[in-house]
This record gives sequence, structure tokens and C-alpha cells, in this order.
Amino acid sequence: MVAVEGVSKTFGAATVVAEVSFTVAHGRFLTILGPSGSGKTTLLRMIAGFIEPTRGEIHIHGRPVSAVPPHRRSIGMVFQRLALFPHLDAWDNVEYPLRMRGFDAAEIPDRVAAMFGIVQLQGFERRRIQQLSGGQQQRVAIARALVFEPDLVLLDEPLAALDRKLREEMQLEFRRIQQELGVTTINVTHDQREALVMSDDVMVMDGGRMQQLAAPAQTYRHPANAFVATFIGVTNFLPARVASRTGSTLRVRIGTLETPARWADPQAPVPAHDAPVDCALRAEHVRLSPTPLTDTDCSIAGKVVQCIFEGDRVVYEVAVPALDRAAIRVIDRAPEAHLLFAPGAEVHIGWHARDLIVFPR
Amino acid sequence: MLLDTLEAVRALLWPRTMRRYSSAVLLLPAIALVLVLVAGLAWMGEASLHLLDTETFDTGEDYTAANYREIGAQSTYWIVLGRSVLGAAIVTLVTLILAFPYAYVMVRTASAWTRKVLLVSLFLPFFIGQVVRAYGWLIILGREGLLNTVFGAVGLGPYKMIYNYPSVLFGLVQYLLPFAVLLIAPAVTAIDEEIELASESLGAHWLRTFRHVTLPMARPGLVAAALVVFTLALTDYAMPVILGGGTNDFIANAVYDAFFRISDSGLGSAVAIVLVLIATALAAVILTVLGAGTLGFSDERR
Ligand SMILES: Nc1ncnc2c1ncn2[C@@H]1O[C@H](COP(=O)(O)OP(=O)(O)O)[C@@H](O)[C@H]1O
Ligand SMILES: [Mg+2]
Repeated sequence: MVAVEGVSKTFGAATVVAEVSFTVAHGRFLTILGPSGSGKTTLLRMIAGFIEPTRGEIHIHGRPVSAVPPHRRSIGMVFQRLALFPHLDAWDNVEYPLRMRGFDAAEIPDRVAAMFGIVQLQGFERRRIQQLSGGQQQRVAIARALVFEPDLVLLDEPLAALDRKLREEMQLEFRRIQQELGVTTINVTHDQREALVMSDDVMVMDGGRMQQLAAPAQTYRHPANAFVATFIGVTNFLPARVASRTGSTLRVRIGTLETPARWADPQAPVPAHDAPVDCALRAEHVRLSPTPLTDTDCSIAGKVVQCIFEGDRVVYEVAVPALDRAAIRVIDRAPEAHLLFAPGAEVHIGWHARDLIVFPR
Repeated sequence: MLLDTLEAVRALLWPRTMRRYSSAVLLLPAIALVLVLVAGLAWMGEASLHLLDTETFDTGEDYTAANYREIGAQSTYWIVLGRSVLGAAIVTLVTLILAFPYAYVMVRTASAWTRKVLLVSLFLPFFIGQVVRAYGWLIILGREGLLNTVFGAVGLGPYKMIYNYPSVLFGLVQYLLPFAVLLIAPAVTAIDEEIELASESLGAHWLRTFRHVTLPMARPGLVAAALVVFTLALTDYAMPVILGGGTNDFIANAVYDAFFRISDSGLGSAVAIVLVLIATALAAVILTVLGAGTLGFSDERR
């Protein structure tokens, strides 16, 4: 449906998007996830046709589109700042693409009305944009981008400006509409939770480069590299050295601790003995106990430095002398353990070998 | 420390309880200015109702509408009036057409260098002043001027490029262009570029985007510019004198002539009052046609 092939963009000396290639099948929902400044908007604007790629080609429905101006591409875009027309009311905003695209005047009112139904905004048709709440404006922007049945919908972080509760509501809401209409969608965000919640596929981007393209669960469980591991979830990073390797079992040495671990990419060769590596350990995979742990692959003593109660979870920071005094972040979701350990408490932490992911340095 | 001292002085001079009058006090100079203007107008209105005795050169005691009747009866005044209003209308139209793209490019250009050049070329004429600029055009366009010298060198001309209606209008456009650009530029700045991109992605090519999005959204700036350019052109004195050379007088020139050539302050006042009335009426028409709400006075704020 959409194929991006080796697309790069440079502004002067700066390469903002580098050699990005991916495809999105019909009706799929892809999220491009990356920190601010990673080139997401630039990539999206190249697909929309506002920016010409320096190299590479974009195909929509199998046809190259580099010669097609934005208004001839069948792409509905929801912008970062929504970009609703303030001089038109909600109805006229949604009607605009139909008039511009020469839809049959007789069927325009029905289409617009149906769209107001889909985004659940009946009764607000004649409101001015300024008289709508943030969430309602989102719905108008979504309706306007979908009403002309585009081949592809692009979302450039339109939900980022909403408060958390409304944002999470709109994420599910948009996913519902997207599945109802079966429209191919590319969403852009820096919010890992949004990427995991909404998408069929997630493409992680950093510094203009593609880091990983996989299903949401895959990016979480099997991060392709250290960047993906840090960006998705709360992750501890520990410098280590390869201690030994027998068959598929890898052991690493972190500080004075020697422990079994998992090599991130089973296909790639494991580095030699004593080679420097990085270990990623998700905060929610670390167990915390007042007594030494017996059901994990390792158990070491530490001292609670900080304890933050976040409602549905408690985030601890534990100083571990054996790990070169590293401060390990631990997320505890077990309700009965809430606020069990105050700062200064002596604790034991441990984890399973499969959760200690080793990346080459 | 210094700020604390200042604050203490302020508290002494202007106690907190007076605070609710602060905005009224800040308005005082403006109100005073308007009052002076109104007083001047009232004096003129009064003067316009007395007839000058041509024998004694004294103004009469009796109230009469004779000066206004005189204006109505003389075709010269009708011609001057028509010329001024038509001229102001043409100048407004041409100036806005030229100013909009200028302001648009100045705001939207990605190159800081282009923006600087455009800004400097906009402000430079401001520093030169209207009269000097008009004389500058005389030097360039005059019978023995630069252009005619060039034309003469290639065996053309000389052409008569000044002391006619077009040259007055040309001078006015050139004089008023910076005002228009400065009033339109903020309105263009207020249009988020994403909105124009949105319009394109929704199926409108640039011309339709311009017509359906950019132009309506820039309306406050356009109305303000139209109003300022129109009234300044209608009431201009220097351009008709210098570039028209007395052949293409505007109303202000007629006012001047009545006051200082024939020393008839009654007639001069009457012409001035007519000018004020016409300018006010036409400004009201512009506001009604283009919409006063667009000037930012609408009840719903963005
Ligand atoms: N027109 C431009 N000229 C120069 N640099 C640009 C331009 N547009 C974007 N950039 C740079 O490209 C980088 C990526 O920008 P952007 O695509 O907006 O990232 P994101 O949307 O992921 O935050 C930023 O560092 C930005 O400064
Ligand atoms: Mg962005």
C-alpha cells in the first residue's frame, strides 16, 4: 500500500532522515516512535508531499509519487497543531476537502453528517473552532482528514498537546475509528505508551535512522539495540564484560557479580571473552525482597535510596555495591508491597537471565 | 533593591486602592488628544458657518450655510472631490495588491537574508520622509530628469512623466506601501503555516488555498491597511502639490488654497469639514463592507 524506499533528507549539512525503508500494508496501523528531533515530522511531510526527499522514492498503491503535488495525493493528515481553519465552523472544516476535491455537491451533506456521527460530535456542527474543547477539536481534525476516504492517513502527534486522561481516551477512540473504516494509517509519536497501545507495527526512529520495525510486543520484549531498549520502558543500563560462553548460555561480569544473561540478537556472533558489552535490564523485571531471592537467576544485596509512590506502582532506586555502586531502578507493581521499603532499607534484588539483555558495545 | 525602592515610591504616589483607575489614567493622554482634535473641529465647524466679506476682508457675524452652497455650486470642488476619492480608491487597491505578496514573502521566507533585505527596503523610505521622496521622484521622472536623460541618449522622448494624475497616484502608492506592509505582516504571521499545508493536503492547490484560507485569515490586516492607506491617500497634501504641480489638486490642497491663497477661513473650514465627513463616511463603508469584527473587536476572541 505505502512503500518508503531508501528515503533520506538533508537540510544543508544536516541529515535529518537517513535511508529509511518500510512498507505499510492496506488497513494497517504503523506508529513511528522516536524522541523529539529524530526526524519524524520530516519523514511524514515527505510522505504527504510537502518536502521532497533528497534521495529515495515513496510509492503509494504501487505508483511513485515524487512528481505528485500534495493536493493530488489522496492523503488525510492530522497535524501537530491540528491546523483547523479558525474562520470556518466545525461543519465547514469537515466539508472543505469534499468541496476542494470536487465531490458531488448532492452527497456532501450526507458524507459530512456521517463523519460527525463516526467521531461522535453530533450537535457541534455549527460551533466555531474556538468554541470547542481540545478533545472536540481533535475529533474535527480527524473527521476532516478522513471524510474524503483517503488512501492513507498521517497523524503527526496530534494527541501530544492533550492532558494524559484525554490523550489515552483519544488513542483508543482513534484506533476504533481506524479499524471501523479500515484506513491505512501512519502515526507519529514520542510517547512509547501510545505506540504500544495503538499500533499494529512500531517503527522506532532515532537521529533520522530506523532502529527497529516490529510488532509492539516485539519491540518491548526483543529490542533490536540498546536505543530501543532504553526508549521503550524504564531500563537500567549496565556496562559489563563477557565472562564465559558455553553453547547458547552467556555469562557476563558486572562489577563483581557474574551472572547468566541473554544475547540480544541470536543471529549475531557473540563477542570474545572479556569483550565490553552493555546490559539492559528493565525496571519492571527486577524483583525486590527483604530476604535473599531464591527463584531468580541471581540475588544481590542493596540499599533503597529513593522510593516514589505513583499510585499503580512504586519506583525504587536501589544502590548496589556489587554492581560498582550502580543505582538500579526497580518498579514494583505488587499492591501488597506498596511502600514496603523506606529509603535506607536493606534489600535484595534479583532477576531472570532472560531479562538481562546483552548488546554489543 | 532598586526595584523595592521604586515599588515603595510607587505605593506612595499611587496607592493600591487607586489601582482600579490605572487603566483610565493611562488613557488620559489619548483622551486629551482626541478632545483637542474635537475642539479644533468644533472651531472649524463654527468658522465654516460665517461668510467672508470680500470688501472689508472681515468675516461676518451672521450664521449662514453660504460657504457650503458655494462648494456645492462650484464644479471645481466637485472635480477635486471626485479626483481625490477615485485616486484614494485606486491607490488603496494597488497598494494592497502590491503589499500583500511583499508582506507574505517577508514573513514566510526561510532565508533570514531575504527577510532582512525586504525589511530594510521597507523602512528606508520611512526615514527619508514624504516630501524629500516626492522631490526624489521629480529628479528621476522630471522633464530634464534621469529617465528622460537615459531615453534621450537612445533617441527617445522626452516623455511627460510628472504633473499628471498617474504620477500623483504612483507617488502615493510608493509612499503608502510601507504602511500597508507593516499592517498586513502581523496578520500573515498569525496564520500558522501548518494551516496552509493542511489546506493543500485536503485537496486545494496553492491558489485555492490562498483564496479560501490565507486571504480570509489575513482579513484583519487587510482591513486595517485599507483603512489607513485610503484615509492617508484621500487627505494627502504633498504628493498632489509636488508630483501634480497644481494640475491635480486633492481636497487638502483646496483647503490650503482657501485658507492661505484667498485667506477665506470660512470657506477653508467648510472644505475641511466636507473632507472630514467624506473620509469618515467612506471609512465607515470600508468597515461595513469588509467587516469591523475582523479588526479584532469581535466578541469571541481566538
Ligand atoms: N526546514 C528545515 N531546515 C533545517 N533543519 C530542519 C528543517 N526541518 C527540520 N529540521 C531539523 O531536523 C530535525 C528533525 O526535525 P523533525 O522532523 O521536526 O523532528 P521530530 O518531528 O521527530 O521532532 C530537527 O533537528 C530540526 O531542527
Ligand atoms: Mg514533530
